Amino acid sequence: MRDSFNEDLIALLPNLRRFALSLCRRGDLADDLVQITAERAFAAKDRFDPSTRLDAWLFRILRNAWIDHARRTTTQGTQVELDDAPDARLVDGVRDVEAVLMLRKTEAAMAELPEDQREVMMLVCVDELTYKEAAEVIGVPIGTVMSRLARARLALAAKLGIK
Amino acid sequence: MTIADETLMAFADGQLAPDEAARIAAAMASGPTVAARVEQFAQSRRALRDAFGAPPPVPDALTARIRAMAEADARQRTGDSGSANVVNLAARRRLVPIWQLPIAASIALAVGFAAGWSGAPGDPRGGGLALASLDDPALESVLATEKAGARVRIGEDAEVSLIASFLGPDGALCREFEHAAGGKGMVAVACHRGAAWTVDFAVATPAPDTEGYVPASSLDALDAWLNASEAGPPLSEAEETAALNALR
Repeated sequence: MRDSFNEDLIALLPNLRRFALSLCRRGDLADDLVQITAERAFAAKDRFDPSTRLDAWLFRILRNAWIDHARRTTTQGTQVELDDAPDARLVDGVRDVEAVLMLRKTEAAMAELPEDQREVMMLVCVDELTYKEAAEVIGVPIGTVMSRLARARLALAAKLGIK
Repeated sequence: MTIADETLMAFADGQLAPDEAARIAAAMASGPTVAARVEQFAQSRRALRDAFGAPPPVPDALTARIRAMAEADARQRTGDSGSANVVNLAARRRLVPIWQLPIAASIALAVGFAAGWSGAPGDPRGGGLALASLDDPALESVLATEKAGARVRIGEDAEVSLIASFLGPDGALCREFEHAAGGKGMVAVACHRGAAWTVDFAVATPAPDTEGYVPASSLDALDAWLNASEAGPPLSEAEETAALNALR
């Protein structure tokens, strides 16, 4: 029986890169993080339980790689660029002007959120992890995920004028 | 009594247990406020999903590199690589991307052993390692004081990067570091025993590929050594600081 780990991982590269971008906001660094994540994932493949979500497992590895990087660059005074317009083209074939405006506002609102809130938003609302899965990726209690998420969504709703 | 935001959010996300969800549904029927709050959570989630949708495609070069990695991994697992030992790379070893390493040309470092080993783990001889700066007090000072993640210039053109600290099976403090001087680079592990540092392991680092990555395979030897030597996991920042202080 062939295991699909390798194919599944490659199929998830876009999701990994998107999560990486949401953390570091730089295309080149996101690529490096994805590559490191893949290296470590292959190395740790035997420790992955195939009955669990591969993307959640990979997000955790990626997030740890991001923390490693952040720890190692603070002493060198490297500043992470805050890029308000990520490389990703978020809108494909959207004609409706109002919808486009809403998408732009959402992007901008997300960029304004603190990193830990933006992170839970990506994992739960975009990558559709459960609260428990997101908690395992980040390494915090579920309650923490929920309170960050609630605060983030209320802030987003306020910025987007959702009443 | 007001229902907590998190509860309404969980309801909107379908993350509430059925009996709690039924209670919230009943509360929604009692007036518009609860429903409006639930709707805020639902709409914010929808806005995010619409804004992000399917992720954009990944640059071809990156996909190609990772495909190559997958193929190499598959070959290694089925034993096609021809190596006598199929090594399980320890995930605890941090692989270092190019932004952390000085860009080095291909180098040859005399380490005394053909495979790059400098001796059995815990071997105090250091295996005849021709690490010129082994007796260098500046390097020893760096090993004794700098934290993981630090990068320090020593001498005229040598640079040392501290990667991780861990405890050897004999309880000795071991430090993994990279050393670059005169265009040559190496990854090494030095352990502190008695009052001295000995280099237990070292391997030359080859030139990175054109994309700027030192290939994972070049650090196979280090990972194999870490596995074989039963090195402990990397110390946390606090543990490392305590271990360094204990050296004094």
